[in-house]
Amino acid sequence: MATNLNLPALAKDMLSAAKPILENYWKEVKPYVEKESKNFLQNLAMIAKLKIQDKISKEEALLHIQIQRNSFRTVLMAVEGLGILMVENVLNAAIGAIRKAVNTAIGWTLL
Amino acid sequence: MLYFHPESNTYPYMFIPALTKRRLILLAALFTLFAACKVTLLSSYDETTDKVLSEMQQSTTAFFVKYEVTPSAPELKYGNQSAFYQGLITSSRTLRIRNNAIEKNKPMINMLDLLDDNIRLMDSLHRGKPDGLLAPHDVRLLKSAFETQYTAMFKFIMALKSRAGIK
Repeated sequence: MATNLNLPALAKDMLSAAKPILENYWKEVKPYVEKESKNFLQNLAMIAKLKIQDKISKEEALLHIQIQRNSFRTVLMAVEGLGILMVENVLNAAIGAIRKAVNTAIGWTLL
Repeated sequence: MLYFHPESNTYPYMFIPALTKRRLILLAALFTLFAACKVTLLSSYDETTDKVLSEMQQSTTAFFVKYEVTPSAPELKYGNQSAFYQGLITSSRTLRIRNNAIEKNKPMINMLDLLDDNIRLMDSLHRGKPDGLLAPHDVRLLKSAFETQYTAMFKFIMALKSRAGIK
């Protein structure tokens, strides 16, 4: 079985299949995280300003901060979830890239 | 040797040499691992979650729009908004129970917990207002937080939907 399989070529195929998925993921996620991080910081600055100007109480400021934190944490959770989906895609693309070669080499459908 | 020996009253697997047995187990494990040919690390798309979350988002957006258009309308006072808060909390907890029953669903469960917490915090903020009304700066901050939160959740749901091949 192993003699029929060109392992370096298969590894190269797997990496070639994974690369565009990783690049697309980063291309989509980076601007999103940057935008939301900026938004989070702007909102925190606004809360601080409102507190300094006595437009909100300390309790209200703390509630607002907690709300903004939860909101930003949701962004991070979504990014984590999208990351898991990206890993899943990479694994499936990598398996897909070597499927034919492996199945042909062993003579029956393993992958 | 895989044939049966009736005279010795033994089962065929006992005649498989140890090394072959190990190879067979390894082969079976590999087969099980790749049999489905598809790795699944997260739960599949759930239409009910998508639908209920969309309704919650619409309700929240309508609430903020009313505040932007008529900031001091008596109907927006905390005492007149109990149906809004109760509706959101009921939907959020219903979704939480549903999603808890779905396997490989941790990101969505965590996001629903954060949404539920934010609804509760907004309720506290609103309840604490002496005149029962949120100020424009409160609305601005709350609107931003909830929009961000719903957008993040929908991004994830859309990715699950796209994975399922649903447009």
